[in-house]
Amino acid sequence: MKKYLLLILAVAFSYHLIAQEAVTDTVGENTTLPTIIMIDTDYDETNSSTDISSFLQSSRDAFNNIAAYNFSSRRFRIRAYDSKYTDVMINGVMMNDPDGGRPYYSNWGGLNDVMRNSVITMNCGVTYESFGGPAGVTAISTRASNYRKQISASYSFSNRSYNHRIMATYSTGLMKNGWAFAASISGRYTPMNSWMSWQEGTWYAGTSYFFSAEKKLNKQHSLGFLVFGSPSERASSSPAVQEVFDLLGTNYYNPNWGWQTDENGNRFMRNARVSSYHQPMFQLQHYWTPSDKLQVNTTAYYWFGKGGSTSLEWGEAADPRPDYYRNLPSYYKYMLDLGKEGYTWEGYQEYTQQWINDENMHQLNWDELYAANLRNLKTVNNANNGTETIQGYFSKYIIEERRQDKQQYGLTSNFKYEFNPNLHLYGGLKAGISKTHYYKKVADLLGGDYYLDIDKYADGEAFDISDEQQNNIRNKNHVAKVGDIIGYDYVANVNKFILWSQLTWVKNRWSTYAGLEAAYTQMYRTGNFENGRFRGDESYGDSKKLNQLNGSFKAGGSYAINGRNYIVANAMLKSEAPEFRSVFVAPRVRNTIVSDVDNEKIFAFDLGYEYRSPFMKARLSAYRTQFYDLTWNRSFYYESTGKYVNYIMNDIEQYAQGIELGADINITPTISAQAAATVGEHRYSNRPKVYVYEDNDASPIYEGETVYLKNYYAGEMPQTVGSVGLKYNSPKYWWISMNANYFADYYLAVNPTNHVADAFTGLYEQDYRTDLLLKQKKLDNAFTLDLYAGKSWNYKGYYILLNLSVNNVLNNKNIVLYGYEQLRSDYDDPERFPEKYSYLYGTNFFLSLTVRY
Amino acid sequence: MKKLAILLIGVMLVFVSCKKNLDQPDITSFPEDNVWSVGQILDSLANGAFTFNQDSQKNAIVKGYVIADETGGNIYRTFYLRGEDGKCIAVYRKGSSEGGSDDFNVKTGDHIGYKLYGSIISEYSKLPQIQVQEHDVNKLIVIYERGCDDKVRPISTTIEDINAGKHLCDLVKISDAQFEPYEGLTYAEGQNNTNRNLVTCSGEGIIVRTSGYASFAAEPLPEGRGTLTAIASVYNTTWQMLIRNTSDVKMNDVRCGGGGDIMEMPYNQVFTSSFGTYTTFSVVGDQVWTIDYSTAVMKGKVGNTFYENEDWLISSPVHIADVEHAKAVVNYVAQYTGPDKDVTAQISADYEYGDDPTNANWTDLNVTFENSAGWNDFLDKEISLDEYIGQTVTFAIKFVSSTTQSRTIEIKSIAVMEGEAGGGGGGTLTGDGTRENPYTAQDVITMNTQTSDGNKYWVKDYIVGFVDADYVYVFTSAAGDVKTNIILSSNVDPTTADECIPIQLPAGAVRDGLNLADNPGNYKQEVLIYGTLEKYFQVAAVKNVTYAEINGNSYGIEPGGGGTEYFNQTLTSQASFNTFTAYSVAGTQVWHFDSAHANYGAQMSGFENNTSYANEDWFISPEIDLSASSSPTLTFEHTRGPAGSINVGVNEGYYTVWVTNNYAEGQNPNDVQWMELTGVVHATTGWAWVSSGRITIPEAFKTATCRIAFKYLSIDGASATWEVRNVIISE
Repeated sequence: MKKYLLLILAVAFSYHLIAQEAVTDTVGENTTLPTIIMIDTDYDETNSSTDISSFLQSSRDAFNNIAAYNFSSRRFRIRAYDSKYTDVMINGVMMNDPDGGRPYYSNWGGLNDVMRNSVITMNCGVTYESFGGPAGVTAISTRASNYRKQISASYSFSNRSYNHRIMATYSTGLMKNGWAFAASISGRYTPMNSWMSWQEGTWYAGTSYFFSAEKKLNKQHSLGFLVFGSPSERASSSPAVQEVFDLLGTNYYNPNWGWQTDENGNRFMRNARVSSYHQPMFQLQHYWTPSDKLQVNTTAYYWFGKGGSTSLEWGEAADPRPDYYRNLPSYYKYMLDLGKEGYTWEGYQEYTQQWINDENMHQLNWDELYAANLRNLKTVNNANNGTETIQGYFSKYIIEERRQDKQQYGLTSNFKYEFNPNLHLYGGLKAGISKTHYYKKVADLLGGDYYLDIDKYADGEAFDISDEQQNNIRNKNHVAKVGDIIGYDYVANVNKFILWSQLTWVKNRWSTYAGLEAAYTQMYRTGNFENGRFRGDESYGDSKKLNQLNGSFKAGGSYAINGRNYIVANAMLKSEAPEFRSVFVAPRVRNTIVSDVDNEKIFAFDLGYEYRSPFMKARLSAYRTQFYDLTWNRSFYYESTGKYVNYIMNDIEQYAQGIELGADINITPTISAQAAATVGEHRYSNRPKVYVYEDNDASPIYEGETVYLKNYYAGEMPQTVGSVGLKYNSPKYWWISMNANYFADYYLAVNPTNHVADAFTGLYEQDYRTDLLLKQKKLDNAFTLDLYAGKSWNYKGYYILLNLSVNNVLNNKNIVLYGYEQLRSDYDDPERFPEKYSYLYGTNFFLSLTVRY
Repeated sequence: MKKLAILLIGVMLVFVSCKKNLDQPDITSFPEDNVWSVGQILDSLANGAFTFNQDSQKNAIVKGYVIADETGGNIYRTFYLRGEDGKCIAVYRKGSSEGGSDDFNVKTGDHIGYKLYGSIISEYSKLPQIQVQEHDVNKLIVIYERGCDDKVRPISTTIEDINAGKHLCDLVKISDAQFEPYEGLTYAEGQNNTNRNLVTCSGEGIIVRTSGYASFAAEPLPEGRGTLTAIASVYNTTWQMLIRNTSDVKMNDVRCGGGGDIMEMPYNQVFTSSFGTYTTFSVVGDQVWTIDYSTAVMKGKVGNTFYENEDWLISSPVHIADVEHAKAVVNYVAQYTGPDKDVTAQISADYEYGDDPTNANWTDLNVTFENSAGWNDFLDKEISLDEYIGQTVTFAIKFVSSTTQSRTIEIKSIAVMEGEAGGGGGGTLTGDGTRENPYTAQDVITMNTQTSDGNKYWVKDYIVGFVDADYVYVFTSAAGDVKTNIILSSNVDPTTADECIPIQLPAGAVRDGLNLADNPGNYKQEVLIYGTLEKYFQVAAVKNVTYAEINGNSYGIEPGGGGTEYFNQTLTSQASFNTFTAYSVAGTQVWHFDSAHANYGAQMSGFENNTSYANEDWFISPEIDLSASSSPTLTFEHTRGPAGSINVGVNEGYYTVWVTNNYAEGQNPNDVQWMELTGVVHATTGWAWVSSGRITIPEAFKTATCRIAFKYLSIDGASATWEVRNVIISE
């Protein structure tokens, strides 16, 4: 048997060797969370969100474990699945965002102690609280009686997302009176421009609270109550072009902050982009066990709260962002190369030096924005729908807050029925209503008195505001003050009803399962503004209601050849309603639904071999997932037309396939090794269609134009990764482990605008620009070292645990964490708008001390 | 178990995918099956202007690197291309007034391919260029690579080499140079094209020409000394430099050439634009040494009056190195007659630089500066300085004039160098370019194209070989397939190219009769040819050969019929043009002469401001006395253009030649009876000069009052330009 195993390993590794320089990987035990990375991009501003790169806790599988803790540091995703393909549940309630599908872990950030109790199913497999996505299910339980009696407190010190964290948890366990309580609070904090932060101008403040109660009524019934929330504020950084990193000599430049002078003449740092979330959830649970064979758990929930982030906005003024392309030295050079009057070589050198040396040039210049606002005295006639004439200082620049306020409620119910010890039936229903309120409001007038709420991209004369420029024709010439809603205002309605069931059968050497899901989704938009360019029900009131029906099926199982060797296979056919954002041409301003709305369809299957012995646990799997009818929707400034456009690509087909290997080896009782590697391929497999609409014009620029993307990598993560680790586990309650990680085949997602026939008008095949447009950018391969160590003590009944994790021990500051091609593209000069990057932090650590009693 | 494992491996291998091609839309491929090197284009141009208009040339392209683009505004509608073979050419697009076209949209450093079909390859005032009729960025050009900086580095060279035409159209770099004068000057004045003098520390000078529309036109000239990078250009015989932008000018060092420092040999001062390290001193008289005609000029005559003068042109002290022989070489022309010993070479060991030379002791070196054959026939006077070897001395030219006599001397350069003085003034010419006394090949070398005035001269010498495609002079009769040129030498067995002149053989009888490929028997035979003295292969040469005699055979059209000439007007000077009468019957455009393009002869075009206007314009000769002639014939050269209009009006008779006996000056030619002279050979390629052929003057016009006339017609919407020169009537 061993021989076969070695053979398989050899084959897998030899392929790996051919494909890349081979590296394997291991894992130490990690008790800390993987790094959570906050990212927002310039095309995704309206939904600035917290994106988590991996799982809160991973299953015991060596591969999944390493993927979660070591690979995720460079945005690796298991089997290339987006996080929206994992169902994340708390007590059976789906935590994935109904509009975009992704779960946002920041909603319960800081509650690690109490969210630890979870069942994780990776990929397609047996699940217990929902049918699940192709990437699996994470089911967290917060049932108060499940926590053992305990007091725990911890302090953490880190230079990652936050510098300091304190956390305290108290749980009673099930008390004799039938009650059980669990409570947790935590606080996280990073001061502005902390010396430990990798990026200037960032800060973070968050608190969390959690309370769970359960009352056991009798043998059959138990009632539960839960409330938790995690209010947080974060001043963030943004990716930038390599030019600015090179000019300033650091890959951690952050364009979002600048100096501001207060009334007393003191200067302070201010970040323009601050996100702020507080979305608490309330749950009432009913646990019912009518017999030994049946269990029914039902949860009713209400989830609401505010979320959003601030950003600079401006009208009748130039883009003030220091890294806006026209503000960079390269633009001066571009104009110089064009021979524009007034641009000289000396001027270029001078401008470059200024940009480098003057903080007011390479960071925001708040004082200048205030000064501009305080000089803009003007009169607006027929203001606020013709009722007033308003004179005052009109802000050219403001800070606006882009909000997405959550309002969700629903009911979920799951059951488990045991026909006999070998045959189980699971199932349930989920009904949910979601109304997310999207709008912008004035957060700071930056010294001015008012802000005139008109569309800066709409065509119009300077002194005569046309109806087309009105963001809300029901409140023409809206003169906005702090707190007023501007720009857009709508509600995304997503109502879902899901029925699912699953049968499991275990007999002799076979373990099998099969599941079904039926889902109904209703989506519509309710416009609160009547946009001047899209009158009447084109933007105001309820849009057409889109009703989608979906059915899904999965099946799989394992066969035990003997007690040590197993064959595993799974398959899933999943149909999902498209995302709300992808259904509307321009959800911010229009009720119009895109042509050809279609359900996403996914077909996934895998085949694996597992070996389990006291010496080694190993898994070797091959997988393939096909995606059909995906949609991709972005809004950006389109260089070809000089207009802000909504760009919708649909009918996208992709596949992801590859081989995964993971192994846990106990070399001696104190020394163990872990290894994990995967070689994957994630590509487009067809030519999608694109629909492009000008933001301020109903007529399309493209309608069904072909995008030539077949075989391009879907990108955005390293396709080939490997890690090896060694761990020493001392009998004296301390341990240390080291992991070496390797990342390769990391392609940036392609910009589809560069792959339509129009992009090549007048370009010959041999032209260098043809190559630049067609070529897919690949990031450098990277190698990192991670270190983990821990020690525990038992002192008079107190359990004390000290944990340290150090990532990127080699302090490599040149590893791109994340990058993307700018959607803005100049076909004549494709290098004009280069990629934007965000770099992996240099050496970063997380130290925590926990005391439990 | 084994089976299962194999199955598993098999399934996994399926996942290991092979390489997949990335998708792309249909993208047109740029044709690369008919690539011309710039060298090939220049070689073909050597035979005259031509157009890429053959079907076989539909895919013709040229590949190379852009060394200068339009950025900066100094270079207009043009970019300069350095071919992959290192040879260079200008690429010019017609502007909107000439038919309109896109911007080239190329940047310096681009590696490009350019489609040639429809382009005219011609010389614009001697600047070889690809003249693009209608540039279309979407169809004509491909940019293979951008930023090929290593391919577009300037070539470090000397002004001497630039003036020798070695780098025409190329990007060159001159070191140790400065603008002179510079104070208070900008690159250009207002919106005028402006010439500024660039002078090297060794005294060589050249024009830096800047457009008034250049973005840096109003910037001040730099004061310091340093390097200048520019395109080496030419306008007829004037070599000039075109900078791309001010970053091409890096002059931060201290200026050179204050003079007075002790110079080392070789000490060569060129007086192109300044006296450099030389100083002047006027002992007597108001006239002084000046810089003019790119020389140091001295004369004692102003208007028609002679003045008494004593004026010195004095070197910095120069250390005559410890060599076997040392000499001074004075390159000059001189004309007219002065008093005895009016120009002398002097040497002093005790002269203080800048002092009155009469305070020092001078030794007359006792040389005579003979007059030159003409203003362009520079002579080298070599003067032995052997007696002064090892000493530090000052060399001077002393000029004297009286109230009755003065010569004019123009000194181009004075060199103090190692070598044995050759004695007398070299460079005497054997012939004078007439049929009776033709120039020799050595004469052509000596004159070094100083006589490239567009006129044709007779040259006679031995055919000693040809120039091959690599510009190598081949001294055999085995010409392979080279038919476009031969080389002549006064030495029947030459050993170096310096002894030879290349002869361009235009297509037709002359080429057919002389080329060595078809006529190996011509090797080492003496040939008499008739053509213009111009540069060819970048050296003094004979071009546009229209007639040749060899071994008793004659080829081409004999100028003046070889017999008595009754009339000969070149029309390449204003004076010659003025002998004719231009009469405009209709239309505002008239026959005219353009002194900037003298060799275009008399010109007439109905095209102005991008529009063709209706015209009837006559160009009428003075009275020609043919009463004593027996069978007089008319020959002339003419051309038409542009290429796109080459067929306009030919069949309709827009360009006709007439003869009359009874035209009176000022009369409307339509009031007089004319007879058309038929049989004129017309050009079929844009801007190609052709001979009219020998046209017989009918018997009835062998009178004392015979006149011939060129009649030009155009209509609204259709016209071409007609240019006429070298009108000859002879037996």
